[in-house]
Amino acid sequence: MNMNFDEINVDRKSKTSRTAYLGLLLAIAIILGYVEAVIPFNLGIPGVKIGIANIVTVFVLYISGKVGCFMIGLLRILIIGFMFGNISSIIYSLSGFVLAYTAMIILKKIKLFSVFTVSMMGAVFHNIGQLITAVFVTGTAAIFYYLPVLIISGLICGLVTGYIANIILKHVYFKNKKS
Amino acid sequence: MKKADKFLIGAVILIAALLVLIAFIINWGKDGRLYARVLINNEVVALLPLDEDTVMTFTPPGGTNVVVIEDGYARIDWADCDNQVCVDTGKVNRVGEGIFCIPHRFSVVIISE
Repeated sequence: MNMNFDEINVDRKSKTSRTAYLGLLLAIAIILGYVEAVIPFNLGIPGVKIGIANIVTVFVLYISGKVGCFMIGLLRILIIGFMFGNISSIIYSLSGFVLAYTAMIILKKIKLFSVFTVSMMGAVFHNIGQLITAVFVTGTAAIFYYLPVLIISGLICGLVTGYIANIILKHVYFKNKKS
Repeated sequence: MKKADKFLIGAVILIAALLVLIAFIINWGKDGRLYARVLINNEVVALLPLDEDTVMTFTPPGGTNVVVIEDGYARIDWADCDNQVCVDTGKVNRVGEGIFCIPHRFSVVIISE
């Protein structure tokens, strides 16, 4: 599955069009974050979420690129955080996002990996980022005991979000290609 | 999926497996008397032997956690944090296992003599 999404890159559209696209995607990301805050999907591991809002993060990374992805991620975390969370949940989300974002940017730049892998590694690094913050905040190094669990759960959650993001990318891509 | 994808995902799974193995080796042969070490802000506040049933209430900054030792297992029975991750963790009894209440900077870690 080697697809080139450059044709629908919103960064190449007019400024107005780009603003509209990114605004809509931000709204979707916030809604997904809200859905997950209201209906937590219990995965059997305490504290682990699928992170369905990351479908948008991965999607935007492909159709817009670095800057759009960062802005959407940052704004989503701040808005969801102030609406449904607190300062500490914002700090955890941000630290996870910064690491996940860096990992995904690098992997996408290498151009060897599919959407699944980019999303999966993003989820793994998101979990690692949160774990490091938890160790610093609580000063309890024993939390690193959770690392293998979080790596595996990150792979699974990243696969789910990556799979959905890939389906959407495929449809949007083909639709654009025809017109 | 391409070759590079499989390679990277395989490598990450391998790292996770190695970490489990390392944790297993570190705790190998430690089968003395087990204790639940209770920490607040990474400072030990209590050391509860797992073979004595107890119920203890702790008041770390920001709330309350109730630690219960029962049938050789330690668990957090009740906490007034909003995510309840520590309560959901359930019971632990193996060396290195832990229960963490991050909002209260409160943790229970199983250690051996």
